[in-house]
Amino acid sequence: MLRLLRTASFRLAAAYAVVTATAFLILYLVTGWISGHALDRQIRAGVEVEFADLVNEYNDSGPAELLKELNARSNVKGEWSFLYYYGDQSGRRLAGNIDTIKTFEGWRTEPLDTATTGQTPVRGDHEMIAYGRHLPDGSFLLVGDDGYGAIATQRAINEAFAWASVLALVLSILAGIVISQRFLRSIDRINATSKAIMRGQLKERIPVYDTSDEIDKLAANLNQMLDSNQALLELLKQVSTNIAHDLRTPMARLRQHLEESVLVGRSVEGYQAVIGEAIDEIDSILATFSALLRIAQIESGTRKTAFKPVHLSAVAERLADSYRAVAEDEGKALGTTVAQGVVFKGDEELLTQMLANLVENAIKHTPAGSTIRLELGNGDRLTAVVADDGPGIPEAERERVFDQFYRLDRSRTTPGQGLGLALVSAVAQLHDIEVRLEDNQPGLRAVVDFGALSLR
Amino acid sequence: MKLLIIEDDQHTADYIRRGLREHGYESEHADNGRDGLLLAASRKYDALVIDRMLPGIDGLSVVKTLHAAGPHPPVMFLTTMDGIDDRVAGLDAGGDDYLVKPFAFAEFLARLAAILRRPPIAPERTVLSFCDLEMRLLTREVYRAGRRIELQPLEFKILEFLLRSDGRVVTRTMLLEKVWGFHFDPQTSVVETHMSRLRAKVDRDFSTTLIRTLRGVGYCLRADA
Repeated sequence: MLRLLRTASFRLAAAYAVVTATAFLILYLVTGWISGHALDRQIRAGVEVEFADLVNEYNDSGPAELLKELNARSNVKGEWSFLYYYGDQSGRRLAGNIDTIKTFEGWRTEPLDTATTGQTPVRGDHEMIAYGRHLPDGSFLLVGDDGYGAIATQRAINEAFAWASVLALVLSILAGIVISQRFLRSIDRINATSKAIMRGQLKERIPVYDTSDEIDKLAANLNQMLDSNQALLELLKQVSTNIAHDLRTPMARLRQHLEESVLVGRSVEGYQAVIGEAIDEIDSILATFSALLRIAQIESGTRKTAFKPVHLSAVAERLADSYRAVAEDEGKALGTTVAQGVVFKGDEELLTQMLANLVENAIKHTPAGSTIRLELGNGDRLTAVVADDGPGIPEAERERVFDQFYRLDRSRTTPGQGLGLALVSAVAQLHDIEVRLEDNQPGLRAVVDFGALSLR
Repeated sequence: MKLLIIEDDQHTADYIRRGLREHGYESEHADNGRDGLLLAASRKYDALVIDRMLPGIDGLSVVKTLHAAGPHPPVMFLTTMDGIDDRVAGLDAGGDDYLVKPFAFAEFLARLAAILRRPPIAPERTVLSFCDLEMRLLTREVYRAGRRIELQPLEFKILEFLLRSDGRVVTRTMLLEKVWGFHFDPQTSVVETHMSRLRAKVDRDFSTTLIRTLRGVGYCLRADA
């Protein structure tokens, strides 16, 4: 229960209840004030008319008639009647339904109790608004009204207001409790999941009910966040394992060579050769690190600020010129079809490296006699294609080759760090370019989709 | 030749200075940006080797300040930051070359030699020559001993770079940057392939070899019997 009181929604409901109650109170006070005034004016008007009527009687017919009239009017028993007092010069009561009263002139509010009105104790203790005046013969006439009916109405209204207020308050609080509990249950779901995840149950997810309310949307979003975090975490774990694995091999080789040369003992030239080999090994390890750093730097996205229009046609021509001879020396052919005047906004160095990596991959991973094609097309979409008729990549592995350090089994023996396509993927992501690996039937076809022409 | 090394890592500084001494260069060392800037301002050095990350004033600011103050000796930046933005920023600040740590000392020496002997304002030569090799830049023709040699565009650019280097060593990385515009390490033998093709065309039919390969260092033009 204490927890319930602390929930945001309950506090909100309580605040709402307080506001409702305050509104009721203000409404009540304003109504009371307005109706009180109206009542007062109405009573005075009634008293004035009655008094004038009695004075007319006195003027026209004399004191005796007035006395008779007063006796008649005083004897009306009922809730809604005037109060009268008529006394002579010496202060003796002659007629009326009030026993005693001090004489006065004009309006006055007088307490009305059983002492003054022996005849009307039913009405209880209250006040009357009265008008009194001495008549020409020195007698004193008073007409009063205690507004009993109006007060009773007022009281009924008060009671109604009070009940309505209490009911509204109770309803608001009940609603608050119900909403809060619902809310609490949802929060409990999220809390329980967070705790489970903190305990290491990373696969735990917040249950989502298809109510599609805000809490549900929040849960769905949190789940998505957890999914992507977990994916990143797993990637990170995998990458660090891969780094450890990929560096252990050359390190072990390095150690072996050095140890061997110490054990065997060599000539100066022999040692120099061993040291030279060791430096080569270390260089290849450093190259791996530098490639990793470069990928990390590209993925951080800071280079986006330096994007400039890049003449892709010139880049493709340069790559064709650079790699045609390399391919020829390995007994492969590199053919090119390059559309002219193609410009794309990006980072020239990175785009060059991305395309170079694809061409180099094609050269490295095809047998002698293969044909490689580099195409830059400017159709509906701007695309660069590097296709070969080599062994290709099995469909199941086409996505995974973009992962860092991922290498096909048959490529394990060729030199390389398994980072070439990871860099391609990082550069593509930075530029919002899509890179697809397709079946070239036979061979591999890497399609770099720069996007629709209108987007350039 | 006297150089100033501004480098906060004592090991790296010692390594560079030892290597320089072996190759006949004198050097002084400052281990922070402030001292480095004061020493550099004295203008008694032939070249400055400056680390990017320095305590006090960072390397980039040192060079910017020197550059704003007027003519200064050539600057080579050293950095562990393997980024193109860093390189561009370094060159923009007034640096002449940019070398990423760790580096091979041969690479460092070759680049140092390149910035040290850079002529102040080279008159645009239209003919480059070495021994009996002649390159006509306007017609893009190459002759050796009066005989025309047909070169592919890339081969022409490599030879031009070698000729402009005036007998100094050019490393593989320098060729990649200056001839190919590649700022990465290719996984295939791009440089070697073109180099051997160029050498075949320039040297095969002649008794004197002009293009020399220095194993583990790079290439240079040298008349060898």
